[in-house]
Amino acid sequence: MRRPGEWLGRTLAYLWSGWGAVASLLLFLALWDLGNRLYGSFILPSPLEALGALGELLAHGALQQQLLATLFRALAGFAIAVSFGTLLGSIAGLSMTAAMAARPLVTVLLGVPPIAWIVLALLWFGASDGTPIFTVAITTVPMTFAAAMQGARTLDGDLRRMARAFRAGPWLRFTDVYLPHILSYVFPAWITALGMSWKVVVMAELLSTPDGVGAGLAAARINLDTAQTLAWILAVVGTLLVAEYILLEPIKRHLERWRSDEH
Amino acid sequence: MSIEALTIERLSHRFGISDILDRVSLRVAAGEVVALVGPSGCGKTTLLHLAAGLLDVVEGRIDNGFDAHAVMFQEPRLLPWFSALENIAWGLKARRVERAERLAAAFAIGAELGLSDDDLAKYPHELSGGMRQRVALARALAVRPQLLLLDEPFSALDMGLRRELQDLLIREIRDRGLAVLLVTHDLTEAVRLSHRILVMAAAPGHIVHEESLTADWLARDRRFIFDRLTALLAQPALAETFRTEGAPAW
Repeated sequence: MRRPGEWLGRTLAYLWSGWGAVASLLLFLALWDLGNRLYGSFILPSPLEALGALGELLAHGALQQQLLATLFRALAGFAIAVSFGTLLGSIAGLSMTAAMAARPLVTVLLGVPPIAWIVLALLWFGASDGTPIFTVAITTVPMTFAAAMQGARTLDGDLRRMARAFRAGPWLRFTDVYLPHILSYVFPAWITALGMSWKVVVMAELLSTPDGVGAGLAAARINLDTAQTLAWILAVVGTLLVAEYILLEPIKRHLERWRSDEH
Repeated sequence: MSIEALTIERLSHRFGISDILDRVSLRVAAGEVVALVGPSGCGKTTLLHLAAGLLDVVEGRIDNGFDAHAVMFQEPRLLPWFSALENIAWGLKARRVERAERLAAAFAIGAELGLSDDDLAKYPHELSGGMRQRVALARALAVRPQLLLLDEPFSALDMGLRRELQDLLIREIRDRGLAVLLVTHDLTEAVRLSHRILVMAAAPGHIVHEESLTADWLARDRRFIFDRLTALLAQPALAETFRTEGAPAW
């Protein structure tokens, strides 16, 4: 029912925002290249050199192997955070007392810097997969917990009474009334948590494990290989962008079709 | 064996220390439309919620002899993440009706209430207020109730839409032989729709007047409604009740 003029305007605006993104990325590359010309390849290799190093890693098979190791750890920690955080957060949100007790705890947990968790994890788990997985889980659990709690706290009493008036059973009330509402709160937090997982896992690996992207970065540092360092960074950022725009964004759009445009 | 009627006997209710209802008795027989009118705060909505089983009866008795009832609220209360069609079918889903069967039933009743295929595919936020309330009415009717409990169902709509939906409701009541307990503060609505009007007064809520209307719905033209309203408001009990609200709602 939208007027064609409005539709055209929206499309143009979308395209324009796309061009804006491309332009700003190109500007970033230009500044990067300028830095290379000013300071030389040792301090800041050019974008082309970094891409070359990335190609080399790819040709060796090192990139795929290390990315997979890192991906496994990040996803394992993320899965723990999503399942525990969401479940416990939803339960806490249903009880006023639990919510009040949990709030300062969440603040405290969020306040501990990831690097501190890494040191603790090193003491507890040593140089195993446990260290990055634990660190990822503990830094992202408060995010998913807080979002799920907020979602459960804002459940609509009117809808709940409607469901009771139609004599919906507890399972149907959960799947059709509570869950979609909580998901709408929790899903954006999952996306943030996934981004966080990806960054924290690299940091934990740098200090703890013999393989993974973080270990690759550590090796590049020891060899004073700046180009390779940048290549790893490109790989990390690239993977995240792909995951977010190819995987998560479409899921989010699909899940939130019912939301009004103004939101 | 229970008879097909909603019988409420000496029903009292309180929230905390405030008395909401004081020994209210009423009866809605099969095929009968009973309107509860009164100023806001007279406990009429509480009474409806008690009858719907949304609140527990503490004092008095409610005997609902109908096999099935459905409730419609002032707001549509649709599930925002489901399409209009799925919303209409939701009451049936709660009754474990198969998906294909319940969607077919929802489709039929949606069409009956003037919802196009296009409207049925939309999400609630894409529908106008009147359309949403049609969906809510369709959802209530889809469970094939014998008793409809209506809590100010059209009071959020403007005059034209309200009339249109009242006409739809009258048609459905007639075709399906529904019993209705209608809570409203709109006397015009009560006169248009009901066989009996029960007037409530507040603090604590009790019934102060009862009025029977026997005319067929088709015979209830503007003249009829105006005359009945005037007669109603001439009743001392009613004038008293509605004076507390300032101007009458009509």
